[in-house]
Amino acid sequence: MRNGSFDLATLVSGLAITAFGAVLLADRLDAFTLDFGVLAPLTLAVLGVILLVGGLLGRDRP
Amino acid sequence: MTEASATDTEPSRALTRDTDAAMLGGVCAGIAARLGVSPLGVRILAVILALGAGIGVPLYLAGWLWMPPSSGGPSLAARIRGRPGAWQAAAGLGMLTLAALLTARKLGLWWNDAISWPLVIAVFGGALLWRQTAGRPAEPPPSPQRPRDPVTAEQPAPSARRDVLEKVRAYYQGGFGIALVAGATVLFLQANGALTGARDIVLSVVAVAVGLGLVLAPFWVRMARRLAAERAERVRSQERAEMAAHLHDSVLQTLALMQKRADDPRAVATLARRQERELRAWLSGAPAARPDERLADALRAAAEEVEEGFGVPVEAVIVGDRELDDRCRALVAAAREALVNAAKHAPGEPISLYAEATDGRVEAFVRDRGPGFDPDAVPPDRRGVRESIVGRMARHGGRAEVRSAPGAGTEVELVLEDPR
Repeated sequence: MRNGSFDLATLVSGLAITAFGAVLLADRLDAFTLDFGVLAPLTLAVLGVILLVGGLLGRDRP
Repeated sequence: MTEASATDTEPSRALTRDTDAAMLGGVCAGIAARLGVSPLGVRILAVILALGAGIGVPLYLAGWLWMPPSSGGPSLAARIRGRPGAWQAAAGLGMLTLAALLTARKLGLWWNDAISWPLVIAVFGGALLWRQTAGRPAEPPPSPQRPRDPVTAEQPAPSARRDVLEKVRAYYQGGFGIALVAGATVLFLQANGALTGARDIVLSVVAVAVGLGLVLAPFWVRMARRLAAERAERVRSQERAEMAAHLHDSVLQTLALMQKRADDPRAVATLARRQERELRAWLSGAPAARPDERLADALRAAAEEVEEGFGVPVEAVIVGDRELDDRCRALVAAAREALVNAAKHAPGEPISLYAEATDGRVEAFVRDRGPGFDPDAVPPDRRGVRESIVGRMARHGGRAEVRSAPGAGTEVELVLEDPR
């Protein structure tokens, strides 16, 4: 947070990680079963979103 | 210049995204326009590739990234690449693409691994190679006038070092692209059992190639070094020839002119100062002056004009620059008038022009060490300072202040502030 404004890159990254955590939690609670075929693209997608948003938005920071 | 512009505006045959006929990013429409076929057919093929094999989605995204828009401007990838955070964004895009491919594979939208993975790798390698040959921006033409600093001629200049790094990067990317395409081909052949019979032949060829490489490597290295040395010598020779030609056309001609006009010290001083300016600009590699477009060039041109017209030295220092709009033109005209006044009323005294252009503000100071005058005692019919300097600046939203006193020289301050 900077003077009332929010950092969009950090917000999107946080949301992506939260969603990832929620999926893992659902797996732990046996809501569904994660296997490597699902977990691998999910992990890559989360990392990809974090890197992409950080690269596109983080560059505009002063 | 005109020819170059005309060439730039010619319709390009490069593959572009047709943004006018786009349904998403205009990739299919652009490909259809390039091939001269119906966009509908290309779109149907893309949908089949996306739903049937999954490969259509990353291919479409790659086209969106790397194909420049038909409306002009660089591709999205070029825009991303030219800014900080490019590698981070590229890594993110790569991971997302891989995630999409794995998801398509998991969902069954996939041919089979023996075809799809080699295809993905080959597309990536082909994109790298294509970028090496077609996507690289044209390098600016080398300046025919600027030599290297003779003192540091043996050391690579910063731009030369950058060129070397750029070449290494180009070779690395090109080699990586070739390796990816070749690897994908081998992988495809291996996965489909096509290499089983050819394995012995391939091994023999590789063994012979390695042996020949070991034998010929010293000769090849020696030849490469000799070629590099010859090329460096040729470049040095060209630079020497260009420097000699420039010195002949400028400095020697000016020296001859100064000898002819040796009886006129003022003309000799003017010639010397003009030559000094030209030589400094040449040595620093400054781009050609554009006094009709840039504020700094316009101020320098005004200073040179007064210097040559009145034969007095004008020391011009310009910090910063901006586009020459109407308000800046008014400031240049006012500065020129102040310089003319200084040259008229303080003959033989050095005149200085200092100007600074920053964000939202331009200011210029014209100073002389002449006899000075009392600004309040200027008769009303003398309109030079009142109208051409103060009035002109006021009409364009700026201000001018004349500070002078008898015996204390004169300073004219001109200020333009951008409206907020």
